[in-house]
Amino acid sequence: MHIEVDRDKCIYCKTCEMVCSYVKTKEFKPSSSLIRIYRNSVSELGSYVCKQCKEAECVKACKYGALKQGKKIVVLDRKKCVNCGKCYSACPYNAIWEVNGKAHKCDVCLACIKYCPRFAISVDFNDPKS
Amino acid sequence: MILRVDLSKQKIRKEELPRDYREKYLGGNGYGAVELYKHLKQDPLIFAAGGMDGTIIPTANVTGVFGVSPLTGFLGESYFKGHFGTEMMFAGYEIIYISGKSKKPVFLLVDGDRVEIRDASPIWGKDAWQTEDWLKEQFGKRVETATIGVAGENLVRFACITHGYGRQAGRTGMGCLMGMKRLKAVAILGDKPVKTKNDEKLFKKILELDHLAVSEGTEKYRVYGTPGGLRHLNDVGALPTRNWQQGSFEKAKDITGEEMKHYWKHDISCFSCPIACGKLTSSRKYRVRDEGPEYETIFSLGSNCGIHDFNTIIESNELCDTLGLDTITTGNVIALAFELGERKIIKDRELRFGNGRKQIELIRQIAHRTGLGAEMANGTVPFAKKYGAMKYAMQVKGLEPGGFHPNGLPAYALSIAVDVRGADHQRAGAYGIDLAFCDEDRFAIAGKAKQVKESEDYYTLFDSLGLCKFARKVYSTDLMAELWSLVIGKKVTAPELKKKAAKIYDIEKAINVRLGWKESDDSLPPRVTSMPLPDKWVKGRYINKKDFEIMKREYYLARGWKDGKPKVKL
Repeated sequence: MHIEVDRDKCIYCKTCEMVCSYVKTKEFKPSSSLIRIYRNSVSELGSYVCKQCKEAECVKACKYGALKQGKKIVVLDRKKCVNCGKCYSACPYNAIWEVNGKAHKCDVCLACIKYCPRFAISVDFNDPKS
Repeated sequence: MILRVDLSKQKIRKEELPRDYREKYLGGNGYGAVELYKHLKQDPLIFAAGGMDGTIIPTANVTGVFGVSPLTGFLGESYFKGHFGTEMMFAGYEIIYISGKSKKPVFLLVDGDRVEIRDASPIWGKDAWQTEDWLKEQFGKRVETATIGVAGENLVRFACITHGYGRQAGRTGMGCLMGMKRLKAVAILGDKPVKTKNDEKLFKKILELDHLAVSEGTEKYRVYGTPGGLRHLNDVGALPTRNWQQGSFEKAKDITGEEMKHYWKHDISCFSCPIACGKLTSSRKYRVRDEGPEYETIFSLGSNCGIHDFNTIIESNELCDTLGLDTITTGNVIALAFELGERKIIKDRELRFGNGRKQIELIRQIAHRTGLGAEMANGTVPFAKKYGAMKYAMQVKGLEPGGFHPNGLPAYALSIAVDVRGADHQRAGAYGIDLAFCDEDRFAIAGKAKQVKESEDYYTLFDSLGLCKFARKVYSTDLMAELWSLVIGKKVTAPELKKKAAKIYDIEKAINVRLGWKESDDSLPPRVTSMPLPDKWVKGRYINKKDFEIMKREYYLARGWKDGKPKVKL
């Protein structure tokens, strides 16, 4: 299961980014949000958010045991993270970022879903890869 | 922080924002006005983020652009929403102040603390969207940009600044000012938090505010976008048609917001805004996709030019957006050319109302300054003067009005005459004062001058605090004061806010006085004061000159200006 943004419903207001960054770091700062929306052309919207892969590249890349395959999601232990940067480049979805000096990724806390004004964000339970 | 960029010397300087700025001038409009007033001789271009930008308050995302207008010679200011102002705040700059003139084309890159003036030769000559594409390729998909198109490079006097593919700072030719400085784009990326004094309280308030923002008051904008009001304006005789000769368009049903739904693809909103008035549309006929057309574009390139084909309007809008032209002025100039063609003052049979093909050709000609477009690119006044047709030109101080016919709207007529940046619908929104009445009171003048003043102050607050005017039914002055108190951590009351707004407006007027404003500049074009409207609701209506003078005196009195000149002490 993972967070999924519906491109057709998303209006590119970035409310989710503000909410996420506040919930996680107590600061309004989209560059520390764990879900990020972009607009690449007139009509092309997209998002970066962790897909909680079953066979995750980031887990394979992490040599310090900070990233582990949990029951339903990929779990990150920030205490073990040394910010080596391997997982940032390993993730095929560009969904792990450095926030306040350590790796950070979505842990499906559902705050973004609660605050999305257009109900564009949901939890995808059916993706076979996650 | 204030980012000062001198393009002549290629120097960059960062300054702390003076301590009293935030309290005294709020942000956006206030910052722009005071900075321009202080440094008028340097002929700067100023980007100023609204006071609440970067907070989670719904619709707080306005950016103001300020300078001396190349189109009017008076104060130039224009606002655009989107993600630019908020990104400025996240990068840590409330004001980006650009002075001087570069020798070769450059663009400004602001990546947090790293600020660079870079060579723009790879993008010089490209249109506004291609420039944005290129910048996103270079600096990542999340970079926010303000760019100019070919029109800005060619110094078309009403070129606009484009942001985020579909958001423009259109009025008063700020794109031309960028072109004069040979500044192709500003790209910005931020990585700092925006701190308010009461983050937690604000966060708890969002759901409530979001709920308000999607209440009944904004339904029109949510469902149909800005064209939602077109049908009503046509019914009450306020839809400018055929270069302002009529107040309603017989084929208006083809260009309403309801009709636009057939071309609708997607909703787009600005930062932290649940309203999403931006509508992506597409035209199969011309194979284009574009944000909009907004109401102002539909009137200026539609009814005002006698065009009722939505495909043509979408294509014209897309051309203006990519080439970087202000759609309101472009439509007005083209409408004037069509009228001059029909009156045989210009001998060209193709110049007639309703000729969509010619309109598209003229837009291209204006942007590239070729053919008839070379004359039209200087704006309505020089173009009309050349053909001795000033009586057909709709403009105040050289700026063409937005889409409300002032002949049947006395308060609105007053507001466009006395407005600091020229004929303008957005600095006062005074059409609302008149259209609130459904009877003869609409045409009355008693007490309306004072209402115009109050409306101007109220709208100044939106521009200064960075809130969107489409949420005007949500934000009362009291709510604004409450939120502003939370943001700065100091109790501010609604009357205090209004006083601050009035002062900001005084400063703007003082800038105009310095630029050579005379009382005769606050006047109405002949089309408003002597041409009776033919339409049924407003039959025979025009603004009597005597009435207008009375209202103007009342207005100056309400503002406390002697002969229209304010006393300003910073």
